[in-house]
Amino acid sequence: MKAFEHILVTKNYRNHQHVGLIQLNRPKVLNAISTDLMKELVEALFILEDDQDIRVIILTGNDRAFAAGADIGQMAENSPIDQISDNRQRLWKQMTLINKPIIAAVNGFALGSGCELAMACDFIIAGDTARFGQPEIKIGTIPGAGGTQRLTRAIGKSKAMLAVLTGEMMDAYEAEKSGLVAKVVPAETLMQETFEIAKIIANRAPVAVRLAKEAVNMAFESSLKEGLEFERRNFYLTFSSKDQKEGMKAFMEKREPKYQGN
Amino acid sequence: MKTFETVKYEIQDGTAVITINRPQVYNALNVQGKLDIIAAIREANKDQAVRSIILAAEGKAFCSGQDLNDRTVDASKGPVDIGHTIETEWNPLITAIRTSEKLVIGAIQGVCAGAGLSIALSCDLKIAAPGVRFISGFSQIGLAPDAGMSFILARQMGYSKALEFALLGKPLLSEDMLKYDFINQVVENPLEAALVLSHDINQLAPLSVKMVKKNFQFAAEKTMDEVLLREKYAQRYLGFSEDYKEGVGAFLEKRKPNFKGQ
Repeated sequence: MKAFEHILVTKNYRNHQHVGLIQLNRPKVLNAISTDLMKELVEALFILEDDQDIRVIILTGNDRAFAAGADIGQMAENSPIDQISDNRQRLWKQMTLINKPIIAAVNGFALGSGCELAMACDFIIAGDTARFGQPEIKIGTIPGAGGTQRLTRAIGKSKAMLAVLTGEMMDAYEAEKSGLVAKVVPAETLMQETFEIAKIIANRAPVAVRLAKEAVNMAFESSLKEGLEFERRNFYLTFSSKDQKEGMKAFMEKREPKYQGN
Repeated sequence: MKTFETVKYEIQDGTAVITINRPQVYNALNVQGKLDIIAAIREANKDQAVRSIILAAEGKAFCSGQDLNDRTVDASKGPVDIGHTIETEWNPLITAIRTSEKLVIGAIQGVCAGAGLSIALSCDLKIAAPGVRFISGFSQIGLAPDAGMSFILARQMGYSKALEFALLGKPLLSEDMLKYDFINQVVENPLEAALVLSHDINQLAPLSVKMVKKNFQFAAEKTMDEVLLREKYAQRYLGFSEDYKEGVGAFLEKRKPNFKGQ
């Protein structure tokens, strides 16, 4: 695995051949998301995406922060043209091209683009000390990488407005209650419990996992009618896989399935 | 050793002793007083050599709560926003005690009034001298109990007794507090007894102590099903710890364990 400057990448996380880990690693700045970090993150995601052994990716920060926002120092004096010319928007878009599940494991702060990064993952597991927020309004700007869109889709208009207009943070339990977070676990146990979930998904049929992720994501991009149509086609498609045959056979024979990924 | 303006901070035998030191005003807390206690608790949590904390007080009172001479709360000259004082001073103080990963033992003497009672109640273990007067006092100046007092009183005394205590201003004595299970011991020298107790706690596995504290706080607020789930997370985490290995090993070898907090 190539060495990165701003992130740490582990291919066989906790010796599991199908689980990859990316850890944001700028602890001195609470993992502020610079363009360079974003570049490395996308590059690492594509490496894991292309790696046939990897089935699930975990993205995390450290105990104090998942990521506490963008690198304000890097952009404070920027003109709109500077902002447009920065290739960050392309990097954010590229994140959505990953077909494998990405789990965000969040301890501490997930603020601004840190919160947006967590939301760009497929789901969020939070330690009980995690805090989420879009504080851009406090410094005279607004979220620029999905904070007004993904947050609204996740928690609804009223709660999203409150968060985006005040810039105030919400704690892990509130985030869970409002649907931003899938599960809250004791902060100390975050990586263990996220790994347990990753193991479960890694044990599922990879083709089905991919088609399921695509179908859930389609819920945000389509009318219900189109979404249902898309889902049905992906459902049919799973029946072309050997793993579907194996899964149903194992179910009837009351044994654990052995999936090959095809 | 760190020093603070309004509290004394010393370490004895692995225990940080934080002593509120404004005896001339019965240890009423101004802004600095509250910030100092918070900072001292943080310092104790950062220090690897410290395993537990004693919160004690100098003079005739443990703590008489908010310093009413503070300009932020003195309403005699014009309206004041006490909500702000609570949000920025009292709630962070109570939260600092509750979220302290090292146990906080209260060594209580004299008088304990207003939010000073809230501080005492929020300590993990409490030892009081005989005849200490515990007073709510809020209703006597037209306010309502704060800094978490409503939570603890209502849960532990029951609704009607708690209301009577909070509204009518009649003090409860150490002996009453023992009867209501608010405190652990009534002894002539609470600080000495607290040091003995902390010595025992300091021999335990730090991760275990921390997890028991967090689990019990969680249990006081949640349902059985939620607690069962949390216990599973916590136990899986502790089960992988070095100290559990040491603890079981020592038990089987019939020797005293030597816990390292890992």
